[in-house]
Amino acid sequence: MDEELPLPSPDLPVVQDMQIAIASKLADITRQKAEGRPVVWCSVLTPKEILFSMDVASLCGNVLGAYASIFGMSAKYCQLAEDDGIARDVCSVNRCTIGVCCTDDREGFFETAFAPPDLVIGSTFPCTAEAKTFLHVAKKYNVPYYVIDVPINTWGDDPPKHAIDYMASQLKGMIDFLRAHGYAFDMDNLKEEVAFARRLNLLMQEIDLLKQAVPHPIRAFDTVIAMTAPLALSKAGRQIELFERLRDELKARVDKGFGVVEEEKLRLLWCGLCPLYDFKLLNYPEKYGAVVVKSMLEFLVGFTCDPETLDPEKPLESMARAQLLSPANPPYRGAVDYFVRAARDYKVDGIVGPVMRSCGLVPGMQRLVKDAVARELGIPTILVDLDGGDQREYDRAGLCSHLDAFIETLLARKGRR
Amino acid sequence: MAETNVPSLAELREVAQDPSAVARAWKAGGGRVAGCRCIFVPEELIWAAGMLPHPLLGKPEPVRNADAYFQSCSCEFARNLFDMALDGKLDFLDGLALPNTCEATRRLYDVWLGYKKDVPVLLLNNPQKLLEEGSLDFYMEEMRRFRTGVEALAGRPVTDEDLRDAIALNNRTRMLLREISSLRKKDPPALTGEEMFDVAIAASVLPRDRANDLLGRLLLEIPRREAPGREGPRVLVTGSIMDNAALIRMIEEEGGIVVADDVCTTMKAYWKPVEKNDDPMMALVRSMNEKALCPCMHPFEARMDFLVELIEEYRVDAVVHFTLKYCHTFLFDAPLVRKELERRGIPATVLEVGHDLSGLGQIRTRVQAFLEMLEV
Repeated sequence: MDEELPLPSPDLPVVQDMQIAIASKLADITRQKAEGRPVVWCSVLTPKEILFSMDVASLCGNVLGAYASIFGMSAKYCQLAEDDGIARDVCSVNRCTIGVCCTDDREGFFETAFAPPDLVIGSTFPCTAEAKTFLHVAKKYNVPYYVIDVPINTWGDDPPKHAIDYMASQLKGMIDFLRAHGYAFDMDNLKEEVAFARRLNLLMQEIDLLKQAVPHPIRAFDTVIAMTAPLALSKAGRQIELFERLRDELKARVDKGFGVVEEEKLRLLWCGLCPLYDFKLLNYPEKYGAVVVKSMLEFLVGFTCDPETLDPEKPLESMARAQLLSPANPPYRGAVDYFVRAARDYKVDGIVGPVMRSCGLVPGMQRLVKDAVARELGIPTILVDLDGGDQREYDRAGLCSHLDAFIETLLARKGRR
Repeated sequence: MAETNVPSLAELREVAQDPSAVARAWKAGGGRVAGCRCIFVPEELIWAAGMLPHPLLGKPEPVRNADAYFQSCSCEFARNLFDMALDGKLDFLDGLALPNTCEATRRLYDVWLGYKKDVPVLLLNNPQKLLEEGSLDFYMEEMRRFRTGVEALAGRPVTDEDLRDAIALNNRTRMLLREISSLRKKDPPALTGEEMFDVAIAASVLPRDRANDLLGRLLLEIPRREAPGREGPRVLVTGSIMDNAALIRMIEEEGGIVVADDVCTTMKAYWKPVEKNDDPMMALVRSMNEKALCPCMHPFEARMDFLVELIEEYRVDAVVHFTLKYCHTFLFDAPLVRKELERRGIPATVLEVGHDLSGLGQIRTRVQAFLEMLEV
């Protein structure tokens, strides 16, 4: 597998199990659809607690676009979307998602991992591309569409009541939309799901602390799988035990002083989308003794909310607060604070900021992050051109030569070359 | 020029050639100027606070210094505005007011906040969705916050009476513009698309009382001249923000007649008045809520309904959907709009245009081909 695909093999046993569970979940949704069970497509940041509490068979639609890229099919599906009128300048991951919907001729991975939607739920969070992509999908399959409007956070750490109420009303609207299409809602189920999310977030906090260890105990690719797993796993597959195992396996490594590179010299933060079609690149710096300790995917889909935000007795209010307070929610103050904190906590030496030409969101904040991290921590950033979703735009040699130069400069700076 | 018989038109078009001169003159007279962009900024509040709202317009020039703050793959319009700010071309601004619309606007807010600290910036946190009547509390609270911000910028309170007057004044501007625009329903239209574009731009930057005076005169004067129009397909232009008439002029040079322009600097801005209400703040909120005509807003159908309304009213033969480079919202909408129009039997084309008007030669070829295709 390692030779054929751009994917490294997971390193930690529990991450290998997560990867298998994700694949089996996708296959299971496809099977359920074939058996006549409706499938709901949602976006990555749609609160899954609602979907699980209502026993909805759901797919993160734009994760399919990411998988298209991961499995080396971005050229085909981007092109299909472009043939359908989607501009090459818009988000390549979402372009892939639309492309996957533009044909019935899906091969390989999608033979067992694709189920067309019966309902679509999109969101304005974190960006325009999310809501618009799901609009395209809903139009393509001629199915009902509900969009969650997430206000941007202009209030800081304590959103006012009217903002919480509005956000909660949008989530209530999602529940009403599902109920109108035959799903039953039970508030106790939702409370259970929020309680689960709280436990998971607490565990993720522990895991995050372990990941900060020097030397770094987990490879970058394993982190990506582990952090995105809760989004992609089925309700049954999202076992707390799985993440307890992750914590324990990490703890064992930390206790032993085990690092993923033999002699750790540099720690990097990846502030942008990694090349999905070439995940191995995340491990490329290891040859210099450099390790990517934190990446953008954790920021976008990871566990960034304070578990204390989640009160199972007030599930809608809790989820509303979590959405509003997410650092991925514009304006960028939250994102800038997140990356400054991450750079400090993870003892980062340098930041790699890939600028994705087709992204409207991330390139917007990279200059702000770069300046804030330099100002507050004296840590340098390199901005490089990289579209992580569309392989046709990829210049591996050029990117590696930027990384080589940056890493060598950082090493010289540390005097440890 | 045709407008020699129409002094008000000549005067308005002159204003449109250098819109910032109006703001500079206002400033020179001791007034305060608040820049704003787009239709979701309630200019009435700015006017009621005694400031001149100045809808910002870019210049069709390559971006230079702003690329150090925005990546070059970001919205060219936003980059262009920030470039102008860095170059001192917006030095007449006492503040800037932006809404919650697209990523580029939010980004402009962030960059402005971070790197243009001498000019305060406000952000109205408007919803991005057409809301039902009973669900406007959030919008109302955010409108109140915005009002407080405007008052701080102006250094004086806004009374409800001030606001009612401002709404009435702005509504008159909208009504006059709509009446003038409706002269394009004639065959041939009483004024060209380029003329109407300039009129709308001038009216948007002039002090409202002055704009209303000129627009009122234009309504009286325009019937006195011979219609400049001729035969040709009646075209509606829709799409990204349009801050100059280059594309409209090109379409008309190639034989099309631009009878309607569904962009946020023109018809989108003046089409819907603010309805009367005892509570002027609620009137503003309702008005903004109903303006869900932009791709930044949901549902998509609201924009399509508006387009279809214009197409029917203005007896449109074909639609040109243009997008600025890296304008993601319109780029995503464009294929949906085209398909929807084609389903209704209305020919449509999609053009992606650089804000600095680079590649306009190629665009001209596309326009020629599209118009020729209509004749077949």
